[in-house]
Formats: sequence, structure tokens, C-alpha cells
Amino acid sequence: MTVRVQSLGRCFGEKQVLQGVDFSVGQGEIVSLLGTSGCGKSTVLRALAGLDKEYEGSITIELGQRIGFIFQEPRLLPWKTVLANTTFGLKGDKRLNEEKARRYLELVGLKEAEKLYPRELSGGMAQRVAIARALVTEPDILLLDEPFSALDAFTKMQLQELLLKIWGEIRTTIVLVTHDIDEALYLSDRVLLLQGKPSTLAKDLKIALSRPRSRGSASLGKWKEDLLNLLEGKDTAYDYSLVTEVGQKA
Amino acid sequence: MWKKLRTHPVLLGSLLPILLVAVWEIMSRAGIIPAYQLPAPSAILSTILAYVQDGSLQDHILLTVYRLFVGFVIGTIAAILLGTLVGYSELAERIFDPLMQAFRSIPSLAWVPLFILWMGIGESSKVTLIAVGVFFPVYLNIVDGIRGVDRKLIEVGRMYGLDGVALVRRIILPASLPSFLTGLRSGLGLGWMFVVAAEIMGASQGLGYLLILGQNTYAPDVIIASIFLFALLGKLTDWVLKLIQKRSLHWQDTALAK
Repeated sequence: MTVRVQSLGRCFGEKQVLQGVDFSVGQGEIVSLLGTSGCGKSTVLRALAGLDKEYEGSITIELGQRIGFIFQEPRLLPWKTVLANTTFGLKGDKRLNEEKARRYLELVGLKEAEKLYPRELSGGMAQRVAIARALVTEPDILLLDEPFSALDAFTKMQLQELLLKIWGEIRTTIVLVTHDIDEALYLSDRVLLLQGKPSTLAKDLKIALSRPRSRGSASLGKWKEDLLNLLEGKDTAYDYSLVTEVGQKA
Repeated sequence: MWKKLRTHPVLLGSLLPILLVAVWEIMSRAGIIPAYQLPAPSAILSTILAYVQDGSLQDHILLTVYRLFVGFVIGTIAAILLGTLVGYSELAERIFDPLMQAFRSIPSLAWVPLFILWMGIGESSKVTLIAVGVFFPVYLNIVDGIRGVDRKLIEVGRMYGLDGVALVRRIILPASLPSFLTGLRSGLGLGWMFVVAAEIMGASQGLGYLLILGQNTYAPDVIIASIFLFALLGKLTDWVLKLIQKRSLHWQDTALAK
């Protein structure tokens, strides 16, 4: 297992937001953390990234695994050009770094934009740069915190395709936080459902559908219905014929 | 014609000053304004030209600018060092900031007698006074700028393994540059104010000395000439800083940047 999380919890002040979350992520897997807003799913991701060190429990990440993080907002440095933003995380020879950055900018479809400043970019373009900036460091684990939630439906779909394409090429392990059921279902091998107050891991569901998936397919539709019911707390509507459970912790 | 006047940035703004100077000239020549109180613009101009011709104006200007420059540089460097420390470290803030705030509430001109007592009326007391005047706006803006750096950008830096000096250099300083430059500009403005004060308190050369000379020799043309030169130089130096500001902040996503 590349990532192992054991009885993860987190308090904000007096309030326990997250409690007893256990899961692990295998090499090359795409795992979504799904839940309503405020359920602590970003907290899990920030703890994984090492941005938040005040959690309870333990997180074990396989030695030598490089982590890349893509935030909800692009978070580009406004004083740097697209190219300079992309090379931000790289060390060493500037020319080699820039060449490398250009390759990834091409991958995200922004080859022509390298000289622009962030203020000249649209939301979708800026998020593409953020993706290139994270990828250029060649992370083994890519953490994404609602990366497409601020984008319009079409751009969102494009970037989801891009993410799958990149995953297809370099097989990074991906942990994705989202509140978008369609997104979770379209992208993931597994969906982890966070629920309750304080949040616990309510379900760990394996989405046993092959790729490429069709967004409008009946099976995804059925899945969506099940997940919605689960989110509303109606456990009875759960259709076991479509679901292979990995570990149930309700 | 009217349209060109309205859209041209300089034309419309210079209309009123030109009109006022013309009225002033006419009224002075007609003897409505007495020349011993307010001489005509042409008289002031010829005073300036006379000073230029005997070469003394250049020396006055050079010395004033030199004093300002030295004081400005010293004040700015002190402000950068202390401001970065206080802005970045909470411990340093708790140690230094209350004292700084206390010093700030002293009107800087109140230091004048003490500085003269300590250092005499030579150059060092003048430069010190200017440096003190420049220090506070620059210091406050640096501290504010660093405090105001977006936590989200700092997280980006930390995500790529930056901390300490590297984080300051690659994220915090560039992000607080706009605030720093604003501080420099208001510091420079105060610097000009204090160079006048410093030269009034006793100098044998400099534009401020010309002010006092004019007062003591009943020469309003000399006073107004040096006021005019102060305005001109002040505007000129601010324009230089504004240019630097514009150049180094072209990345900013503000209405001004476009």
C-alpha cells in the first residue's frame, strides 16, 4: 500500500470534526473522498500532504514517494509568468527545467501561453497551469482538493479527461477530494464516503466499472442514485448488485 | 478641438494653472497685488534664472537632494531589516512592535531639539531627522505587506518544500512588494517634508536655506522660487518611484495596471 491512514482524527478547537478514519490507497489507484461540504474531506487531504500536522492517528506514506498537490484554486504566483510558475517546484538547471515545463504545458494544452501572466488567464487555463506545475515535479502521489469545482461544466469535463489521460500515461496514485458525485464516479476506482458528526468513513466503495466510462451510462446513473441515497442516510436503497464493498464501516 | 482638449490627459489639467498664473501676472503688473508680498511669476522666474546663472542654485539643489538621498537610504534600509523581521516572526513582533508604535506616536519634528543637542546643526542631525521621517511609513508598509501575504501562496511554497529564508525570498518578499513600494513613496514624501525642516533649523546651503534667506532678506520671490523648486523636485522623485512601481508591478491584476 502506498498510503495508509489509521484512525485519523482532527479537532478544531473543542469541536471534533473527524474521527477514526481508516483507509489505504494502492499504487496507481484513483480514490475519491466524497462528502458534503464541511465534512472534513479536505482536512484528510491536508493531513496527507503534510500541510496540517495537528491531526490524531497516523499516516504512513511509502518511503521516497513524492507528493504533488493541486488546490481548489490555481494559486499561481501572480508575479511569475506561466512558464516560471510551472518550473516553481523544480531545482537545478534553469534551461533543463524550462524545457521540461514546456513539455507539461504542452500536455495540458497551454504551449502558447508560457509568456502570459496569471491575470491574463481564464479560470480553466490557470487551473491547467496549476496541474502542469504539480505534474512537472513528477509526483508519485497526486493529491487534488476539489480541483475543478470552480470551473464551468465543459471545462470541468475537459480537465477530468486530461487527468485520466495523464493517469493513463504515468499511473500516478491519485487521491481526489470532491463533493461532486458525478466526478467521483467518473474518475475513481474507489469512493470513500465521509459522513456524520464528527465525520467518520461511512463507506469504502469499489466502483467496478471499466474505463473509458460513459458519462451518461445507466450503470453510472444507478450508482449516482445509490450514492445520493447513502448521503441522505437511506441505507436501505443500497443496491448490492452494483457495488463491491471493500470495507464497510457504517 | 474641445474633444481633443477633453481626452488629452495633460491639456485639461493644465488649463486652470495656466489661467491662474496669467491672472496673477496681470494683477501683479497692474499693481493690484503688491510686489513686496507676492511678486509676479515672471519676477520669480528671473530670480531662479539669476541663481542658475551664478551657479549657486545647482549647489543648493544638489546638497538638498544629497541630504534627502542619504537620509532616505538609511531610513529605508533600517525599515527593511526591522520590518521584515517583525513581519515574519511573531516573537520579534511582540518584542519590537510596541516600542515602534510608541516611537511612531512622537511627531518626528519633536526630535529636532534633541538631535541638535546630540549632533549639533551639522549634516548628521539633518540626515538622522530625515531617516527617522522615512523610516516609519516604510516600516509600517513592509510589516503590513508581509502580514498581508496570502496564506494560500505560502502553502504553495511549503508544498514545494520551502521554508525560512527560501520562503521569504521566493514568496513573501515578491508578494509584499506592492506594499513596500507604496511605503517607499510615502516615505519619500515625508523625506521631502523633513529635509525642509532640517534645513530650516540651520543650514548655510540648500533649498531650505533659501527659504530662510528669503524670509530674512524680505525677498518673497526667493521664498516662492524655492517652494516651486521643492514642488518640482518632489514631483520628479515621486515620478521616478512611480515608474519603478509600474515596471516591477506590471503583473498586478488591478485597474491601475491596465
